Amino acid sequence: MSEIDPVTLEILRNQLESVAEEMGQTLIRSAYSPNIKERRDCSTALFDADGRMIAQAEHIPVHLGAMPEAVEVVRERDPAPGDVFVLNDPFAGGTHLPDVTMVSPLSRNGGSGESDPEGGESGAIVGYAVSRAHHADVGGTTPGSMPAGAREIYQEGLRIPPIRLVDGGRLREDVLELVLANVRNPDERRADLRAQLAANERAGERLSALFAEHGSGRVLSAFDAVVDYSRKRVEREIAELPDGTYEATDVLEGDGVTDEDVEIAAAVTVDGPSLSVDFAGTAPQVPGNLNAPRSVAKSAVYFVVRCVTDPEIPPNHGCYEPVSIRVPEGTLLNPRQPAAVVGGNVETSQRVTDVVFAALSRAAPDRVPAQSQGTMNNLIVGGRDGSFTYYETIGGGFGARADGDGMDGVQVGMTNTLNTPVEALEAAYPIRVDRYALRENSGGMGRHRGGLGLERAITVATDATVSLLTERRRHAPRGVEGGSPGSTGRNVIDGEEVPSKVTRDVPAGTTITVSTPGGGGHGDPERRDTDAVAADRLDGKHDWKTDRDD
Amino acid sequence: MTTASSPDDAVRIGVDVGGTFTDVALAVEGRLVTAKVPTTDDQSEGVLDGIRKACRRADVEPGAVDEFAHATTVSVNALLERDGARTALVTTAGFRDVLEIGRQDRPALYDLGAEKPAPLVPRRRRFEVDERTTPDGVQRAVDPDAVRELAGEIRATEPESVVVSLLHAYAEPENERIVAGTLRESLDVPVSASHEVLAEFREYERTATAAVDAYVRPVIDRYVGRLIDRAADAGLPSPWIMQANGGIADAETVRTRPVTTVLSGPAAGVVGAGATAAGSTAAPEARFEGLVTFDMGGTSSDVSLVREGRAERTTESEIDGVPVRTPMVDVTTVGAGGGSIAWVDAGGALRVGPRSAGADPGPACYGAGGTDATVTDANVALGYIGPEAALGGELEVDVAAAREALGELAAEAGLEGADAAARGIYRVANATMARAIRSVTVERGHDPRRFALVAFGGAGPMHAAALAASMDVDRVIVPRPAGVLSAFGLLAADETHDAARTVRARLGAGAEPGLEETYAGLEERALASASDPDAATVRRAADCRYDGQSFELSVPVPEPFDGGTVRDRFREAHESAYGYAMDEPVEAVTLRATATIERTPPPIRHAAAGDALLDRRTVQFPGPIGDGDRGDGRSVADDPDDGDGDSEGEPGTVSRETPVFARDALPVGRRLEGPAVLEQAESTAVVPPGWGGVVRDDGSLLLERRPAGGDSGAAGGGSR
Repeated sequence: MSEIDPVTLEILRNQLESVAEEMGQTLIRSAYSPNIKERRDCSTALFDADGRMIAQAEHIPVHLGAMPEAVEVVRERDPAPGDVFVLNDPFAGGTHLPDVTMVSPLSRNGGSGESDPEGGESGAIVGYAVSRAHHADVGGTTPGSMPAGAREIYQEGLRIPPIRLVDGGRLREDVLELVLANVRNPDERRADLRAQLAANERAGERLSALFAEHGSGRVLSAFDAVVDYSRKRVEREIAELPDGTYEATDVLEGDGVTDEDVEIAAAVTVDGPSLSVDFAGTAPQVPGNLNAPRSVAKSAVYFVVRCVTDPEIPPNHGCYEPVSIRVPEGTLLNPRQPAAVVGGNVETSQRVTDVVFAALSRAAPDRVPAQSQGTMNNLIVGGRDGSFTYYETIGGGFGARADGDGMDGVQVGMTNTLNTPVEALEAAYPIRVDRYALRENSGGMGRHRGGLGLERAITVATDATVSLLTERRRHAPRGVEGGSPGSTGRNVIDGEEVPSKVTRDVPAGTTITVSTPGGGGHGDPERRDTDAVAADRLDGKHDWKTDRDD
Repeated sequence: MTTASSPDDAVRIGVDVGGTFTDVALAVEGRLVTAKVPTTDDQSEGVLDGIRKACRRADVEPGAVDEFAHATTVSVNALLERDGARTALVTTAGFRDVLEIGRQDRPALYDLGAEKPAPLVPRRRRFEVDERTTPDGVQRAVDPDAVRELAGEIRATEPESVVVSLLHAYAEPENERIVAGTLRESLDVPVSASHEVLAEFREYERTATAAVDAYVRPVIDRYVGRLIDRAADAGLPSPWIMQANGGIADAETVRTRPVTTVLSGPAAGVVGAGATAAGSTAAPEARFEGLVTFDMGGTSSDVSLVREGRAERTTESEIDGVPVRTPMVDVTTVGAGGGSIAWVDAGGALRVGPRSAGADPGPACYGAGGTDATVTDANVALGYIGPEAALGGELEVDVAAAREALGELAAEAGLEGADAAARGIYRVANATMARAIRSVTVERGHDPRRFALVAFGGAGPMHAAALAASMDVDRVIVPRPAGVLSAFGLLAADETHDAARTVRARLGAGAEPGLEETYAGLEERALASASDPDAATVRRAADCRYDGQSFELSVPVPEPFDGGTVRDRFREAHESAYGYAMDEPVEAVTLRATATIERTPPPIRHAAAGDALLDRRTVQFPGPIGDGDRGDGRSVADDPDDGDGDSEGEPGTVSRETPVFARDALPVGRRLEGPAVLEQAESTAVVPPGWGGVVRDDGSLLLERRPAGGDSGAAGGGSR
């Protein structure tokens, strides 16, 4: 059905990807908040009329599995060209409330559905433009809409089911007003929402230009061709894995309400060119906010598949067609409403990634590194007088690889955001950074060493509330093939070690030190290259003492 | 010392060193003479070879040269090959790993094997000093005795260069000054201080930029020393050195602040493109919003923008993963050049690059043993590069070898023969570059359709018209020295010096004495490097943002400083870049002063010589899309879904008997209608069917797309 020649395939693939890319650029350029503009916490994509993703400009892996679900829920609501749907409901196409998605049905003449010289059929939907961005605030009990103590979603902010923000080409001011009335900094939100609308509009213009240039027959068959192309390449790589079912489990260290371990279980089955993941055995949903909607588990699985196959394969529906996922309802990874979910995106997603990697490492030990730090080390400091909120995630050790050491002090798994420069932070907040350094000896030993964790120590100059949402404080990142585990992380407030998840009121002058986990080692430490050991000692990164007991 | 503001009758020479060739442009009495010689290991040897060759051609004694400007790759090579000086770093206690941690992001999201680029200074040579400065000033003073003690430890690691970067030194450099001063007294190696290199906030970027300065400093110092000696022996003046900011500086300035020389060659090319586009009375710039410059070389292509006659600059550059935040001409490199290898990937798509055949063995048509089909081989098979053409200087074209490589690729891809493979490569290369050019322009808020494309580099003018058409760009300018445009740019570049400092001040409505004072200091610094401060003009600018944002836009600033005006300009800039402005408070983050001594481009008057028509041969012009059907046996033209009729006119491949002209023999004002091929020493230009052109005063070509689909006679027309 899609026998396009290899030249046309490559040209149209470039042009379709350029549509998604241009959407992303339009969004980033016209957004207001640093979170979208500088940290690029947003994604854009082009879908076909059947809801298959054709091209994606990706910035954030946790959006990978979630965008198709957003299109799915919109397709159930009689969309027409000229409409733009907005949504953020984790139980209807969203992930967590701050991620706001816009879905625009497109006709071959663009989004408007008007001025169709031929009338009739060309007003039909030929695809969807989708943009998703993390908004700095969507209401709820705390600024930033990531309340640590939430027990149900109602505390986490405004919940928007899939509704028309634009109806038949007309912006519904009443809907916009409702949204803006429920968020902090409505002017910023208005600018960011408008940026998403502009991005979707751009997709409509560019797609209709492609239809005009190449004719609809060729563009529609290019949709099929690029999907087939990615599917073939992913299937070929999955088929190289030995058939079988591979299981792994791991735990989260408490849900913020209790300190009990919460189990995540995955069974990965490789069957020829297809791969399925079953999360049966995963713990029931928890009272705290570490529940993750199904799309987060999907994103995590897609992320792992992309990592173990050629990362250069263009991300579209074809990549995920050979992959199926089952998540029992009522569990941590498919909670029933009104579960609180905001932490699912940040910490649970990391652990799901670890578990799926661990299972797959049994099938492909050379492709999967030892475990990385497996946490984002979320640190939130708020002035007791409400004057500021500082949020940071801290990098750590990357797991050692079959062919080399793990990277020191980087973001791992499904996040890759930048740090806040010390010189920016100290100018903006009453906070002093005392130390920001590689954490010596924290990487697991092995033929290849796990990456080092980081140490970040800050002192507050005013009375403040400190929240830590961290993991891997009890259970260390594992080594593989004889490599030793990385060091567990530590949270210390004025010399006192505190749990992985904690909220504390502290007086001015308090020092908070977060030491992040190191990556696991790979292979027998005895086989480590002596020059590499010498270099580690000279650089003070690792002393390679085997009788360490810390 | 002479100043850079040369009179029109000065004899000027520009020498640009590239990976394979060293290019020379010589302007004398309205004539432009060019030369190309092989690049040598010690680049200064090749530079002198090239100068002697060009002088012979122009019949000018090297001693008669008034101005000598030069762009070198010595510093960027040292950086890319991690072959610079053994460097030590001194920083605030608690922060010696900032240089290695960077912004804690990893280089690739999905690549589990990715590596972070190694820091320029390894941990063993990173030292801490007990001191602390905050945005409010020095909190803990540094103890000079402790620094002297530290100097002993540093000396023991035998560094060739030292960089000092302390927290908040951009705002209060007191401690950093003491540390750098003490180390300069105690150690016998150069010391770069971060506030002197880049007085801007964000500790990682400032430290990394200062580390680059220290890392390349001994290398550049030795190189420039050798070059000055050789130039003096030949009777040449001391060289002006090109900087990445788009301007030249005298040799001594560059020896003490070498970070500015990184990536200076591409900057010279952009300056040359801007000068060409402006340098003709037939200039049609009024019709464009600006220029997209497109330099297609052997392994990659460089794209940048010129607006209002000035190359767009950025302070966000990164080279091989190392941030270099001094102002630079904003050049984006995309992975397709003449030597890029075509291949069939695991999913059956035809791909071009990023692997390149390089200079050795080079493309198959070099006949030097290369067997992979490249973009250049495709251009040979299409008839753009004639069998008689001199490739890369001296080589003959091996057409048979090119066709054989293309044939093999065709078999692998399931295409019908070498010609189909050649058309495919040409199209895919263009599609890849069109995507990159769209991305560069759209990302910066521009619509490429309102720009003209300036094409240069050996292969650029062969692809330019087809590439422009695919982006709906109607005009292409091909400079006459298209094969050596960076060397030409060196003849036209202004002398430019930048100074900047982060202040972070909320803008009020009127005068700001504090900021006025900062500007005075910046001007003094910028002018201190100028060869003739009296001849220099100074421009002020400020990087501003809305309070609470973390990205800035640079706007021009009036003298004396006026907060209200700057705020209005920022809002206008925000409106134009992002489509809206807000009534929020505005903050001036970094203040900038740029001192410029302007040079006018050398007046070049093109004089045609020799026979224009060289040959006629059959040449292929691929349409925008592959030859293959969609597999259902229908062509696009009879697609029933396609009611709009546009696709009727979709040009497939056209094969035409095409005149081949010697470009240098075409007189000013000569009009051309496509198809035509224009050959010259270092570059070939292609005018496809549907395009026409004219030779402008300075010998550059202006190509224009004829309106499509008109009646013959009504549309286009022009003399034939």
